[in-house]
Amino acid sequence: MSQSINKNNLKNKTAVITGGTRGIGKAISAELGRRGVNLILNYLRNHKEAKKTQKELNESNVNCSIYRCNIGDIESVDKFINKIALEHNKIDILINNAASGVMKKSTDLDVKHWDWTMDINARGTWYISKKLSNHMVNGGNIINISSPGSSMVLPDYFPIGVSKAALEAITRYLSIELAEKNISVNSVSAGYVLTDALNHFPDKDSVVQMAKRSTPAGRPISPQDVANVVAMLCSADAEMIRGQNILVDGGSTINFNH
Amino acid sequence: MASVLDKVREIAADKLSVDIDDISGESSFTEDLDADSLDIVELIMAIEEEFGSDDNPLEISDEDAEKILTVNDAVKYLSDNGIS
Repeated sequence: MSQSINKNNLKNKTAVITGGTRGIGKAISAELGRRGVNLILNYLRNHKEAKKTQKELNESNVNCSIYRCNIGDIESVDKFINKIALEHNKIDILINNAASGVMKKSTDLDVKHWDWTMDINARGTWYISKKLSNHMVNGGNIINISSPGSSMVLPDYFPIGVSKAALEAITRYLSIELAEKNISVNSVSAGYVLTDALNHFPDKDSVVQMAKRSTPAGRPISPQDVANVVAMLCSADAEMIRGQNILVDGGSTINFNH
Repeated sequence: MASVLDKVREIAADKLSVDIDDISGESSFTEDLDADSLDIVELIMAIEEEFGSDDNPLEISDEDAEKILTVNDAVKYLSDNGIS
Protein backbone atom coordinates (compact mmCIF):
# COMPACT_ATOMS: atom_id res chain seq x y z
CA MET A 1 0.00 0.00 0.00
CA SER A 2 2.79 2.42 0.86
CA GLN A 3 4.22 1.93 -2.61
CA SER A 4 0.86 2.84 -4.16
CA ILE A 5 0.64 6.04 -2.11
CA ASN A 6 4.20 6.88 -3.03
CA LYS A 7 3.86 6.54 -6.77
CA ASN A 8 0.84 8.83 -6.74
CA ASN A 9 2.60 11.43 -4.67
CA LEU A 10 2.54 14.87 -6.27
CA LYS A 11 4.79 16.46 -3.64
CA ASN A 12 7.27 19.02 -4.97
CA LYS A 13 5.83 19.00 -8.44
CA THR A 14 5.14 22.39 -10.00
CA ALA A 15 1.83 23.22 -11.66
CA VAL A 16 0.66 26.10 -13.81
CA ILE A 17 -3.10 26.61 -13.43
CA THR A 18 -4.67 29.14 -15.76
CA GLY A 19 -7.69 30.89 -14.28
CA GLY A 20 -6.60 29.24 -11.04
CA THR A 21 -7.73 31.89 -8.58
CA ARG A 22 -11.53 31.58 -8.79
CA GLY A 23 -14.30 29.01 -9.09
CA ILE A 24 -13.34 25.54 -10.30
CA GLY A 25 -9.76 26.72 -10.92
CA LYS A 26 -9.43 27.76 -7.28
CA ALA A 27 -10.68 24.34 -6.10
CA ILE A 28 -8.12 22.65 -8.38
CA SER A 29 -5.38 24.93 -7.02
CA ALA A 30 -6.32 24.13 -3.42
CA GLU A 31 -6.49 20.37 -4.09
CA LEU A 32 -3.13 20.21 -5.87
CA GLY A 33 -1.67 22.46 -3.16
CA ARG A 34 -2.96 20.06 -0.49
CA ARG A 35 -1.13 17.28 -2.32
CA GLY A 36 2.16 19.16 -2.09
CA VAL A 37 2.27 20.78 -5.52
CA ASN A 38 3.91 24.22 -5.91
CA LEU A 39 1.46 26.48 -7.70
CA ILE A 40 1.81 29.11 -10.41
CA LEU A 41 -1.63 30.67 -10.86
CA ASN A 42 -2.70 32.89 -13.69
CA TYR A 43 -5.58 35.37 -13.68
CA LEU A 44 -6.86 38.03 -16.02
CA ARG A 45 -9.17 40.58 -14.42
CA ASN A 46 -9.99 39.99 -10.79
CA HIS A 47 -6.87 41.16 -8.98
CA LYS A 48 -8.47 41.33 -5.55
CA GLU A 49 -9.72 37.73 -5.73
CA ALA A 50 -6.33 36.56 -7.06
CA LYS A 51 -4.49 38.13 -4.14
CA LYS A 52 -7.03 36.71 -1.68
CA THR A 53 -6.60 33.19 -3.10
CA GLN A 54 -2.81 33.50 -2.96
CA LYS A 55 -3.00 34.63 0.68
CA GLU A 56 -5.32 31.74 1.61
CA LEU A 57 -3.06 29.19 -0.07
CA ASN A 58 0.11 30.65 1.44
CA GLU A 59 -1.54 30.52 4.88
CA SER A 60 -2.21 26.80 4.25
CA ASN A 61 1.54 26.39 3.64
CA VAL A 62 1.09 26.05 -0.11
CA ASN A 63 3.83 27.61 -2.22
CA CYS A 64 1.85 29.79 -4.62
CA SER A 65 2.64 32.69 -6.93
CA ILE A 66 0.18 34.64 -9.10
CA TYR A 67 0.71 36.19 -12.51
CA ARG A 68 -1.56 38.30 -14.62
CA CYS A 69 -1.83 37.18 -18.22
CA ASN A 70 -4.43 37.24 -20.99
CA ILE A 71 -4.36 33.68 -22.34
CA GLY A 72 -6.01 34.98 -25.52
CA ASP A 73 -3.09 37.31 -26.24
CA ILE A 74 0.05 35.65 -27.64
CA GLU A 75 2.39 38.44 -26.49
CA SER A 76 0.94 38.26 -22.97
CA VAL A 77 1.38 34.44 -22.88
CA ASP A 78 4.99 34.73 -24.09
CA LYS A 79 5.78 37.23 -21.31
CA PHE A 80 4.08 34.95 -18.75
CA ILE A 81 6.08 31.91 -19.86
CA ASN A 82 9.36 33.85 -19.91
CA LYS A 83 8.74 34.95 -16.31
CA ILE A 84 7.93 31.39 -15.23
CA ALA A 85 11.05 30.05 -16.96
CA LEU A 86 13.24 32.51 -15.04
CA GLU A 87 11.83 31.44 -11.70
CA HIS A 88 11.26 27.69 -12.13
CA ASN A 89 13.62 25.15 -13.66
CA LYS A 90 10.82 22.77 -14.63
CA ILE A 91 7.06 22.49 -14.91
CA ASP A 92 5.27 19.18 -14.24
CA ILE A 93 1.57 19.96 -14.58
CA LEU A 94 -0.43 22.39 -16.71
CA ILE A 95 -4.15 22.87 -16.02
CA ASN A 96 -5.81 24.82 -18.83
CA ASN A 97 -8.80 26.06 -16.89
CA ALA A 98 -9.03 29.73 -17.99
CA ALA A 99 -12.10 30.32 -20.10
CA SER A 100 -14.08 33.24 -21.31
CA GLY A 101 -16.82 33.81 -23.80
CA VAL A 102 -19.71 35.83 -25.02
CA MET A 103 -23.05 34.25 -24.16
CA LYS A 104 -24.99 34.56 -27.41
CA LYS A 105 -26.80 32.47 -29.98
CA SER A 106 -25.00 31.84 -33.28
CA THR A 107 -27.36 34.25 -35.05
CA ASP A 108 -26.64 37.12 -32.64
CA LEU A 109 -22.88 36.70 -32.44
CA ASP A 110 -20.38 39.20 -33.88
CA VAL A 111 -17.02 38.17 -35.33
CA LYS A 112 -15.19 39.94 -32.48
CA HIS A 113 -17.16 37.81 -29.94
CA TRP A 114 -16.15 34.64 -31.82
CA ASP A 115 -12.50 35.71 -31.91
CA TRP A 116 -12.38 36.65 -28.22
CA THR A 117 -13.88 33.30 -27.17
CA MET A 118 -11.83 31.12 -29.51
CA ASP A 119 -8.59 33.02 -28.79
CA ILE A 120 -8.82 32.29 -25.07
CA ASN A 121 -10.52 28.88 -24.92
CA ALA A 122 -9.05 27.12 -27.96
CA ARG A 123 -6.01 28.94 -29.36
CA GLY A 124 -4.80 29.88 -25.87
CA THR A 125 -5.00 26.27 -24.69
CA TRP A 126 -3.00 25.04 -27.68
CA TYR A 127 -0.42 27.82 -27.52
CA ILE A 128 0.37 27.68 -23.81
CA SER A 129 0.51 23.85 -23.98
CA LYS A 130 2.94 23.99 -26.90
CA LYS A 131 5.18 26.55 -25.19
CA LEU A 132 5.09 25.05 -21.69
CA SER A 133 5.65 21.49 -22.95
CA ASN A 134 9.23 22.65 -23.67
CA HIS A 135 9.63 23.26 -19.93
CA MET A 136 8.15 19.89 -18.90
CA VAL A 137 11.60 18.32 -19.00
CA ASN A 138 10.64 15.30 -16.88
CA GLY A 139 7.35 14.73 -18.69
CA GLY A 140 4.09 15.62 -17.01
CA ASN A 141 0.37 16.12 -17.28
CA ILE A 142 -1.80 18.58 -19.14
CA ILE A 143 -5.47 18.71 -18.14
CA ASN A 144 -7.88 20.88 -20.11
CA ILE A 145 -11.17 21.89 -18.53
CA SER A 146 -14.04 21.43 -20.95
CA SER A 147 -17.82 21.58 -20.79
CA PRO A 148 -20.78 19.43 -21.87
CA GLY A 149 -21.56 22.31 -24.28
CA SER A 150 -18.86 20.82 -26.53
CA SER A 151 -21.28 18.09 -27.62
CA MET A 152 -24.70 19.32 -26.41
CA VAL A 153 -26.51 22.47 -27.46
CA LEU A 154 -26.91 24.72 -24.41
CA PRO A 155 -28.86 28.01 -24.52
CA ASP A 156 -26.80 31.10 -25.53
CA TYR A 157 -23.64 29.00 -25.47
CA PHE A 158 -22.72 28.91 -29.15
CA PRO A 159 -19.14 30.27 -29.24
CA ILE A 160 -18.15 28.67 -25.95
CA GLY A 161 -19.59 25.28 -26.93
CA VAL A 162 -17.72 25.43 -30.25
CA SER A 163 -14.49 26.46 -28.49
CA LYS A 164 -14.84 23.56 -26.04
CA ALA A 165 -15.33 21.12 -28.94
CA ALA A 166 -12.06 22.50 -30.35
CA LEU A 167 -10.46 22.13 -26.92
CA GLU A 168 -11.40 18.45 -26.78
CA ALA A 169 -9.93 17.91 -30.27
CA ILE A 170 -6.78 19.76 -29.15
CA THR A 171 -6.66 17.37 -26.17
CA ARG A 172 -6.66 14.33 -28.47
CA TYR A 173 -4.00 15.71 -30.83
CA LEU A 174 -1.72 16.86 -28.01
CA SER A 175 -2.07 13.53 -26.21
CA ILE A 176 -0.56 11.74 -29.20
CA GLU A 177 1.89 14.41 -30.30
CA LEU A 178 3.27 15.10 -26.79
CA ALA A 179 3.41 11.42 -25.79
CA GLU A 180 7.04 11.25 -26.95
CA LYS A 181 7.85 13.88 -24.30
CA ASN A 182 6.15 11.65 -21.71
CA ILE A 183 3.36 14.18 -21.30
CA SER A 184 -0.17 12.86 -20.85
CA VAL A 185 -3.06 15.05 -21.95
CA ASN A 186 -6.72 14.69 -20.98
CA SER A 187 -9.73 16.89 -20.47
CA VAL A 188 -12.27 17.04 -17.66
CA SER A 189 -15.77 18.18 -18.37
CA ALA A 190 -17.99 19.28 -15.52
CA GLY A 191 -21.74 19.59 -15.64
CA TYR A 192 -23.32 22.73 -14.19
CA VAL A 193 -21.21 23.58 -11.12
CA LEU A 194 -22.29 26.35 -8.78
CA THR A 195 -19.64 29.08 -9.27
CA ASP A 196 -19.65 32.82 -10.05
CA ALA A 197 -19.27 31.93 -13.75
CA LEU A 198 -22.99 31.06 -13.88
CA ASN A 199 -23.85 34.72 -13.19
CA HIS A 200 -22.76 35.51 -16.76
CA PHE A 201 -25.52 33.37 -18.32
CA PRO A 202 -28.35 35.55 -19.67
CA ASP A 203 -30.82 33.17 -18.00
CA LYS A 204 -28.77 32.86 -14.85
CA ASP A 205 -31.65 32.02 -12.50
CA SER A 206 -32.55 28.81 -14.32
CA VAL A 207 -28.88 27.84 -14.76
CA VAL A 208 -28.24 28.37 -11.05
CA GLN A 209 -31.32 26.23 -10.34
CA MET A 210 -29.87 23.49 -12.56
CA ALA A 211 -26.54 23.68 -10.75
CA LYS A 212 -28.30 23.32 -7.40
CA ARG A 213 -30.24 20.27 -8.62
CA SER A 214 -29.25 16.86 -7.41
CA THR A 215 -27.69 14.35 -9.81
CA PRO A 216 -28.30 10.59 -9.98
CA ALA A 217 -25.31 10.39 -7.61
CA GLY A 218 -27.54 11.97 -4.96
CA ARG A 219 -26.20 15.55 -4.77
CA PRO A 220 -25.18 18.49 -6.96
CA ILE A 221 -21.67 18.67 -8.47
CA SER A 222 -19.17 20.78 -6.53
CA PRO A 223 -15.90 22.40 -7.68
CA GLN A 224 -14.17 19.95 -5.33
CA ASP A 225 -15.56 16.99 -7.35
CA VAL A 226 -13.86 18.40 -10.46
CA ALA A 227 -10.63 19.10 -8.55
CA ASN A 228 -10.50 15.52 -7.26
CA VAL A 229 -10.69 14.10 -10.80
CA VAL A 230 -8.07 16.54 -12.08
CA ALA A 231 -5.71 15.50 -9.25
CA MET A 232 -6.40 11.83 -9.99
CA LEU A 233 -5.51 12.36 -13.66
CA CYS A 234 -2.20 13.92 -12.56
CA SER A 235 -1.30 10.80 -10.57
CA ALA A 236 0.67 7.78 -11.77
CA ASP A 237 -2.44 5.57 -11.57
CA ALA A 238 -3.88 7.49 -14.53
CA GLU A 239 -0.77 7.03 -16.67
CA MET A 240 -2.57 5.01 -19.34
CA ILE A 241 -5.53 7.38 -19.67
CA ARG A 242 -4.63 9.48 -22.71
CA GLY A 243 -6.58 11.95 -24.80
CA GLN A 244 -9.85 11.28 -23.01
CA ASN A 245 -12.60 13.62 -21.87
CA ILE A 246 -13.71 12.61 -18.39
CA LEU A 247 -17.24 13.72 -17.56
CA VAL A 248 -17.86 14.75 -13.93
CA ASP A 249 -21.63 15.07 -13.81
CA GLY A 250 -22.91 12.58 -11.23
CA GLY A 251 -24.53 10.65 -14.08
CA SER A 252 -26.83 13.50 -15.21
CA THR A 253 -25.96 13.40 -18.89
CA ILE A 254 -26.85 9.75 -19.40
CA ASN A 255 -29.94 9.86 -17.22
CA PHE A 256 -33.26 9.60 -19.09
CA ASN A 257 -34.92 12.04 -16.65
CA HIS A 258 -32.17 14.66 -17.05
CA MET B 1 3.16 64.59 -24.95
CA ALA B 2 -0.48 63.54 -25.26
CA SER B 3 -2.69 64.38 -22.29
CA VAL B 4 -4.39 61.58 -20.34
CA LEU B 5 -7.68 62.65 -21.93
CA ASP B 6 -6.23 62.32 -25.44
CA LYS B 7 -4.64 58.98 -24.59
CA VAL B 8 -7.98 57.60 -23.31
CA ARG B 9 -9.70 58.95 -26.46
CA GLU B 10 -7.05 57.18 -28.57
CA ILE B 11 -7.59 53.90 -26.73
CA ALA B 12 -11.37 54.20 -27.09
CA ALA B 13 -11.03 54.99 -30.81
CA ASP B 14 -8.81 51.93 -31.31
CA LYS B 15 -10.85 49.47 -29.24
CA LEU B 16 -14.28 50.66 -30.37
CA SER B 17 -13.38 51.38 -34.01
CA VAL B 18 -14.68 54.93 -33.75
CA ASP B 19 -13.15 58.06 -35.30
CA ILE B 20 -11.20 59.87 -32.56
CA ASP B 21 -12.78 63.19 -33.58
CA ASP B 22 -16.15 61.75 -32.59
CA ILE B 23 -14.94 61.09 -29.03
CA SER B 24 -15.03 63.81 -26.38
CA GLY B 25 -14.63 63.77 -22.62
CA GLU B 26 -18.39 63.56 -22.24
CA SER B 27 -18.76 60.55 -24.56
CA SER B 28 -20.46 57.61 -22.91
CA PHE B 29 -18.82 54.34 -23.92
CA THR B 30 -22.07 52.42 -24.22
CA GLU B 31 -24.57 55.10 -25.22
CA ASP B 32 -22.51 57.29 -27.56
CA LEU B 33 -19.77 54.90 -28.72
CA ASP B 34 -21.89 51.75 -28.91
CA ALA B 35 -19.62 49.63 -26.70
CA ASP B 36 -20.91 46.25 -25.52
CA SER B 37 -19.77 44.43 -22.38
CA LEU B 38 -16.86 42.76 -24.17
CA ASP B 39 -15.71 46.14 -25.53
CA ILE B 40 -15.75 47.52 -21.98
CA VAL B 41 -13.58 44.64 -20.72
CA GLU B 42 -11.10 45.23 -23.56
CA LEU B 43 -11.15 48.98 -22.95
CA ILE B 44 -10.42 48.61 -19.24
CA MET B 45 -7.61 46.13 -19.98
CA ALA B 46 -6.12 48.52 -22.56
CA ILE B 47 -6.23 51.41 -20.06
CA GLU B 48 -4.54 49.20 -17.44
CA GLU B 49 -1.84 48.27 -19.93
CA GLU B 50 -1.29 51.83 -21.17
CA PHE B 51 -1.05 53.47 -17.76
CA GLY B 52 0.49 50.61 -15.76
CA SER B 53 3.88 48.93 -15.98
CA ASP B 54 5.42 45.63 -14.89
CA ASP B 55 6.89 47.33 -11.82
CA ASN B 56 3.83 49.41 -11.05
CA PRO B 57 0.78 47.66 -12.50
CA LEU B 58 -2.50 49.54 -12.74
CA GLU B 59 -5.29 47.32 -11.49
CA ILE B 60 -8.84 48.59 -11.96
CA SER B 61 -11.22 46.49 -9.86
CA ASP B 62 -14.52 45.28 -11.31
CA GLU B 63 -16.35 47.56 -8.88
CA ASP B 64 -14.39 50.61 -10.07
CA ALA B 65 -14.69 49.56 -13.73
CA GLU B 66 -18.48 49.52 -13.39
CA LYS B 67 -18.38 53.21 -12.45
CA ILE B 68 -16.33 54.22 -15.50
CA LEU B 69 -19.11 55.11 -17.92
CA THR B 70 -17.59 58.01 -19.86
CA VAL B 71 -14.18 59.12 -21.12
CA ASN B 72 -14.10 61.74 -18.36
CA ASP B 73 -14.88 59.04 -15.75
CA ALA B 74 -11.77 57.16 -16.93
CA VAL B 75 -9.64 60.31 -16.80
CA LYS B 76 -10.93 61.09 -13.28
CA TYR B 77 -10.24 57.52 -12.13
CA LEU B 78 -6.68 57.81 -13.43
CA SER B 79 -6.24 61.22 -11.83
CA ASP B 80 -7.54 59.89 -8.47
CA ASN B 81 -4.92 57.16 -8.76
CA GLY B 82 -2.05 59.54 -9.35
CA ILE B 83 -2.01 59.47 -13.15
CA SER B 84 -2.46 62.86 -14.80
